[in-house]
Amino acid sequence: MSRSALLRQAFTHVPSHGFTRRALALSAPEELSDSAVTALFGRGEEAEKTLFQAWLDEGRQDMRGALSEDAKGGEKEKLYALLARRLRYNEPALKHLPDAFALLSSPSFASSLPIPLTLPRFRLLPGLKHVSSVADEACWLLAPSSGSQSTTPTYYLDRTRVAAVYAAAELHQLSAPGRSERFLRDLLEGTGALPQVVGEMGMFAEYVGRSWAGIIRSRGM
Amino acid sequence: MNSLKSALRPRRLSRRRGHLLAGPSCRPLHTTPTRQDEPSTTHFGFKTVGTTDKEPMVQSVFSNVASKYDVMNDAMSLYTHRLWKDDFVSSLDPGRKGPLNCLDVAGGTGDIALRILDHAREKYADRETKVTMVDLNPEMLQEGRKRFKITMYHNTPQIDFHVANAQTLPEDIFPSNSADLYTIAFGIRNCTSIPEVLQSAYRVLKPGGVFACLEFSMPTNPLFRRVYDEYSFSIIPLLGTILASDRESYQYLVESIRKFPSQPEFAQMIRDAGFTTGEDKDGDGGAWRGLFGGIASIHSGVKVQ
Repeated sequence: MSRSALLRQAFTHVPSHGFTRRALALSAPEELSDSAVTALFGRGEEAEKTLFQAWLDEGRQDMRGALSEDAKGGEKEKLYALLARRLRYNEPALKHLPDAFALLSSPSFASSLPIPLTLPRFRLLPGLKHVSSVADEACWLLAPSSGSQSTTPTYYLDRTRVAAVYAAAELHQLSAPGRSERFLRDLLEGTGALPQVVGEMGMFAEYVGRSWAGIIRSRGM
Repeated sequence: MNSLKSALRPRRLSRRRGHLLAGPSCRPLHTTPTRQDEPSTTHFGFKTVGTTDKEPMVQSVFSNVASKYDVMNDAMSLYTHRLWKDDFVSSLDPGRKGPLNCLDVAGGTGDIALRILDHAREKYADRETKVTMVDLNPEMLQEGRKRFKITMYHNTPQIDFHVANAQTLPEDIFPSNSADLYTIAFGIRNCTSIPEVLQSAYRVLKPGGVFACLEFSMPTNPLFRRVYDEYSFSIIPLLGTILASDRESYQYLVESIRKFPSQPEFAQMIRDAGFTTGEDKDGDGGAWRGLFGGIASIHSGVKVQ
């Protein structure tokens, strides 16, 4: 049985045991010893982080299923379907997610010296990485060819918008699970005009800049 | 590890003899496949020798170094081998979930066995965990017995000693599916056939049991590797000459480390034997974890059925 098969099996124990070493121990036909869990998935909380990270990766893979379900709608509907499916993937493990995200953001410093060194710091990066990877997956699934346009501002703008929407919807889901999909739809509607707003803000900034340049020139500076 | 060393005592030792931190209950390193009519060969340091020759040569090395083994380990590694062994055992955390039946192969002077028993007792008040020490070399095992006589474990069911070859652990003494934990520290590279040692380990472990190996490897940083090479080939044989009057054994030590498979290769060999390992990378959750920049590595695998 491979490590990835064990991880997939451990996902089935997440609703009852959370992202814990216990869930990992139950992944094999014969319950794994603590030493075995350490050997396969890491020491202490590192094993729990491994499980949670694998679960997040699986969630991104699972998003593909939304396209086959709602293949008829327009691009906006497809985006909604993709993000809504990702939110539904959270549901069985919802009560364990705050702890899991806290774990992912907790101190982690692996030293090659056999000395327990832990640097106290809170890391925002894992959370941002999670929402940006969901956004990237959604945008890629909507337009696989857009990967080649990775230098255009639209590429980043789209992903930033989707990441912000998904982050807000997921945070809302933690406090009000029943209303998360409605909240997601509202957010998508509200941010649909974002590119136009950004363009207008750019025009306004250019106008203000030119005005100041004229004032400075008229002063003989 | 000591036991492995002991198991490798040679009848003839050509130019190079034994070394430190080597464990021994097996015949020497992996074999090179040859045509049917040619004898198969293996490595003894940088030398190529017949597979049947390596075991006695390694035996001889460890017989020579048995009495000075611990002193030389301290001198050569600047005491760091103790840190590595502490880390090795604490990462296995024996006793945390109840008593274990452990097999310490190439156990030699008992460094690992003693740490396992102490860890289980001091941290979890576990006096039921049992360690069976195995070594090919009776002299090394004798050093281990002597050492255990001054501990509380002497003459208790917690410790047992056997002279045996790691490649062919006898079924009557080491039944299949009987051990929870199989450790081998600084011993496997002295074996003639690493795959046979791994297969033997797989056989004796229970489903869910853990194979753990502490062994020298090569530093990954090129600059550090250069410094390490200089130290290995210049200082270690010199220390062997000064402290043990035995340059060749310590020359063999350095050479055998260079001939040992790289970390990814050894991880693949562990998987080929049937074990499940972590991701194919260095670090926590990986198939191996480098110590001191990769001078030594802890490899582990789990028998999952």
